[in-house]
Amino acid sequence: MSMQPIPTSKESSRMASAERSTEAALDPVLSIAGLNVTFATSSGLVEAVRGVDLTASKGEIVAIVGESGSGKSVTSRAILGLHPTNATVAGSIKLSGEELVGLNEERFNEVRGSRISMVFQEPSRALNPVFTIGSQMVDTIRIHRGVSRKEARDRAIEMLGLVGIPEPQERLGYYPHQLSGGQKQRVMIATAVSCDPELIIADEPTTALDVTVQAEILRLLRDLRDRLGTTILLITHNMGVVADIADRVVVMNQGRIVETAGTFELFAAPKDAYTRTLLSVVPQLQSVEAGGAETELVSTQEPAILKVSELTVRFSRGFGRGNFLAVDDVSFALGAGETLAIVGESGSGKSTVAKTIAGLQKPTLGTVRLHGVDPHGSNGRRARELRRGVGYIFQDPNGSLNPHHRVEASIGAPLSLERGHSSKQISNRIDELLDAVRLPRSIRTKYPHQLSGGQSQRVAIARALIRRPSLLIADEPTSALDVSVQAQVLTLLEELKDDLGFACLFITHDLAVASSFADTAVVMSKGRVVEHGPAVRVLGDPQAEYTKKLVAALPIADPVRQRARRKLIGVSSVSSR
Amino acid sequence: MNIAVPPRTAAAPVQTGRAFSAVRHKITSSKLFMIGAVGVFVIALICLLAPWIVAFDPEQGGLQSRLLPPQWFSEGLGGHVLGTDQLGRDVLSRVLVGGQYSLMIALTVVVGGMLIGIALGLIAGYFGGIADAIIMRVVDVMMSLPTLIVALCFVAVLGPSFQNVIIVLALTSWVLTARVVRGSTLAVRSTDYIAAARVMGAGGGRMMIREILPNVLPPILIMASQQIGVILLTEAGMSFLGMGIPAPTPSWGGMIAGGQAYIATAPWIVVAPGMALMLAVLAFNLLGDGVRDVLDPRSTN
Amino acid sequence: MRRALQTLIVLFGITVIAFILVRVAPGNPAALMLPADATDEQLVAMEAFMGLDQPLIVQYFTYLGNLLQGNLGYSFTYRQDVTTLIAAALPMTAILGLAGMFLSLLVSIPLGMLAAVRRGTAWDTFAMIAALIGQSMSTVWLAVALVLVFAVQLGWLPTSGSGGIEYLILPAICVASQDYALTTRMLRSGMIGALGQDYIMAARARGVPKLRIYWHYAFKNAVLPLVTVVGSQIGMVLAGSLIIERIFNWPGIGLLMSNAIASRDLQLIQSILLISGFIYAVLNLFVDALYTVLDKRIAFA
Repeated sequence: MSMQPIPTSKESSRMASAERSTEAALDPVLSIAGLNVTFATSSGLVEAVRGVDLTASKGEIVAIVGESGSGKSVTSRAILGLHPTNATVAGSIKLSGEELVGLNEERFNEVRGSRISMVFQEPSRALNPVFTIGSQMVDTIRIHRGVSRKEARDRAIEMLGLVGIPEPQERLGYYPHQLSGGQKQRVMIATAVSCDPELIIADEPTTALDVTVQAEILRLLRDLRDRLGTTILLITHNMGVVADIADRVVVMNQGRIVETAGTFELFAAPKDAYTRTLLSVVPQLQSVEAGGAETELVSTQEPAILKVSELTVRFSRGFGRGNFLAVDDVSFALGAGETLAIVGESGSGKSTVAKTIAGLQKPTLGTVRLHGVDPHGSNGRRARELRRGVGYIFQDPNGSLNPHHRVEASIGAPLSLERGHSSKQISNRIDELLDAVRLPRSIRTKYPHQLSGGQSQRVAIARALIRRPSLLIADEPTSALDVSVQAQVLTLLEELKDDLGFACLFITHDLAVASSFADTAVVMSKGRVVEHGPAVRVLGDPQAEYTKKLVAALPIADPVRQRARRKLIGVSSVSSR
Repeated sequence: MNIAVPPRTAAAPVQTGRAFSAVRHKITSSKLFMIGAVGVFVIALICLLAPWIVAFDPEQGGLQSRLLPPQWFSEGLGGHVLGTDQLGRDVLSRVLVGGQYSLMIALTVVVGGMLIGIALGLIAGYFGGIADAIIMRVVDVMMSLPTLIVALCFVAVLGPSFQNVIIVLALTSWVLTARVVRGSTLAVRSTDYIAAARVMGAGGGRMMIREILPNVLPPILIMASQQIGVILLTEAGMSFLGMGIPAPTPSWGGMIAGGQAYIATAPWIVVAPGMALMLAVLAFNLLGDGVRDVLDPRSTN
Repeated sequence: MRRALQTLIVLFGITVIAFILVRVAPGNPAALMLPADATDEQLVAMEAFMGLDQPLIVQYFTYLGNLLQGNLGYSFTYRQDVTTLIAAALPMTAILGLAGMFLSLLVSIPLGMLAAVRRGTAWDTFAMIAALIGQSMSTVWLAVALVLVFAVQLGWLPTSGSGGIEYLILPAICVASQDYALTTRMLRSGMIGALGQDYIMAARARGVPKLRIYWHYAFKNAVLPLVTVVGSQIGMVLAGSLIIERIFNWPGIGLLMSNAIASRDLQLIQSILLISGFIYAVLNLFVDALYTVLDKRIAFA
């Protein structure tokens, strides 16, 4: 932290009068001008944020959008002086006219938590696990307000009630791990508003939450803004969230602001090329054209590549703590060349189904048949042969490649496991696949930590396809990637599907992606199949209650339609899950 | 598991693993590693060459030359550079030769212990089930008994000798390695890349060696360097109590024990081996820290 | 309950090892109990009395039975039964151990915190060097050196024995020196780890002042892993007590063991081994239970 002198009384009074004169004009709560943030790294100076100008008025919700590396998070941290020690902040950040850049730690602590609050992305990581939520909230209140413990407790209970936590007195004594993800985020928001801040910075507050929980949190934020008049600075990469809640949008790319506009304007007529690209790659829920979509499942003529019958998977929780039913009586079939998406929120069992099919998990009841044969029933060798016909892609691209193996070793591994391939043959295959996934051959000798997320995922795809499988299982393959990279990977998968003709089982929580990518959709909730049918129909015109709820909660990247939908859905109770 | 481990936070950093060129660069830029490595090299060289470079027979002394104070280099290397002890034996020679024995014991024990520990730890962590239960119970039992005490007991019972010391120390030192390897194996086993290998159809043996071992090795290498220091100290303790390298073979611990009585009048008898011990352990510990620096600079140790 | 079961198995394992120890010894245990000129009939009678003519399994269960009744055998060196000896010696070692751990914490907590909070600066290097020296220091050497300086040269403190608190100081310092390095390092890495977590960033964002963040928020998270090593620290104290109590003539378990080893008093050796193992195993059980109280995320199985 740079040590700037505390303004003298003459400077303060000058500031105060300047403030009063601007009061006549529009009174921005937050006013950023010419912000530059530079990092001193071992490879030289890196400008993370360049020349950013931004204002937010009272009661406004301003969204900063961008992909990773755009500088949006760095900007938000710099406002509160929470940037890392190797970063230098230059420029001006004013809160209701008072300069924040260069404040010493003590003065900053007066601002943090009381005049500006922050809500973080991962609520489970942002709460200290060894303290009760009550003690963390009470501590904050007492630091800024200097009230007695009892008064602070009362205020905390009031805040918990405000954000819709039931039985707040009891919950004060809870530890973070006893609450659900949505509840933890509500607690964070409650702490954030407990000292009446002028500004709340919300850094990707709903990214780690399920779609339905996200909808509730967004409603909560809007609610608080309406009741308390707080200004909200929302950092996000999700255009649907922006369309739902933001008044104004600031688009950032590589440290600069490329466009600023009101929400409706931005979506209707984006001026900058980058904004246009960003909006175009957002996956959309396909609409059901009248009479165009099929309402019946297409019956495949060929025998099914994959047939799952009454699959049940039960996990025991160890010593007398009962069982946990992860998958409950799930059945579906997949034909050659067909793409089936299993859609569901966290805990729905979709990943467990994928793992069981791939052989990573044993079914408790029911069968999985690959080409008519049950791999779990047969002996080891036959099972392994069957598995060769299956390729698998994981969610975290970096985690699925062995950090000590070079790219070529990772891709070639499935072939080197089989006998009868010379190293020359394997090497040629590796080259073929690198071409197919549009990666340069020079990447063969690199290690995973040298690759970007998108590159790693392509390597994983190459590895999965090297044995020419008839079935590709993709477990949330794009969830960890930026939106633009996601679009590229999905396009690549489409092409490969057409060229190589494999069937694809696609696990995802993203309804829009499922809708545009898959032929058939299976919706799961709490281990059971809730709905099953052609993807466009299931997600465009859902029949089951749960699917309807899911689709309704998904924010559409179109402010006009999104806000109209909100009115239709109506105001349900603000209680938490 | 004897020790409860708090859950790790899920986020894996994007940068994992090291390419070899990066490792080479890290090695030369890590001061710890370089100092430690140089120190170890020098000490090892001197000690291992000891029998050939000492001027005097470490086990023979003349009563007429008892308790001579250190002559430093006043008579060149042919004189008693560090003086003589209570039996007239040259202290420097004894320190060097004693060092040879101590180092050899430490290296043998650590390498042997590591091999056993890695094998058992991998088996326990990878296969789980009965093998894991048995191995871990054995580890628990052995860890309940402090190494020094067990080693002393067994040497007391079997008689002090070079071989017995090595055997008993090797048998007690594998446990820590095994536990650490098991922990690492368990952690690695739950990663996506191991799942990917399983989906591919990789079997047990191949899986353990190709996929798991390289990821488990770094903490072991770090531990190995520190273990050498620990074994050096343990052996010195044993020799001090008379249950280590048997007299009249010189050993650092034994020299300190023998020189205790003369501490007021001829402190060099005790100071020389004491300093040697400390420098040796220090060098290996520095090397250990340096190895950690190179292999896992993110580590906060 | 699984943990309790595991501990029970460990305890059994310890008894087996203790039992084996004595049987492995060369020579006839009966002969050791008798004067040198005993006749053959006396030898046979003693063997029968000691149950040495029974099959091994029966001997083992007799041994277990004796243990449960509190009969730990008879020491021929001290001419007393072992239980009385240990009961007298254990509290002395406990006092020494506690004093040493207290001193160690007094030094390591400030050092560890300092190193973590001023990470990368000269303070950090200073603390790490201090820890390195502590790790590399041989207790043998330190004890002898301390005696030389403080007792012999300066005459401030007595050289050995027990009595008032002045007798406790030097040995306690030796105990502390074995221990503080590990605690310092663990606290440092624990603090650095905790400070890097999101919840600390969130606390800073709420305006919590730095001191409170260090001592209230981060500290509690950092200290948890330390609890897990308390067990092994007790082990270190027990092992180190052998040497320290011998040098300072402190009448604790270590001195007892040291003398027992010197005179090959097998029953005493065996029982001390047993007791130290038991203490360690039971202590670990308590530590694990304590850990679940401190960190609510872990359930006690």
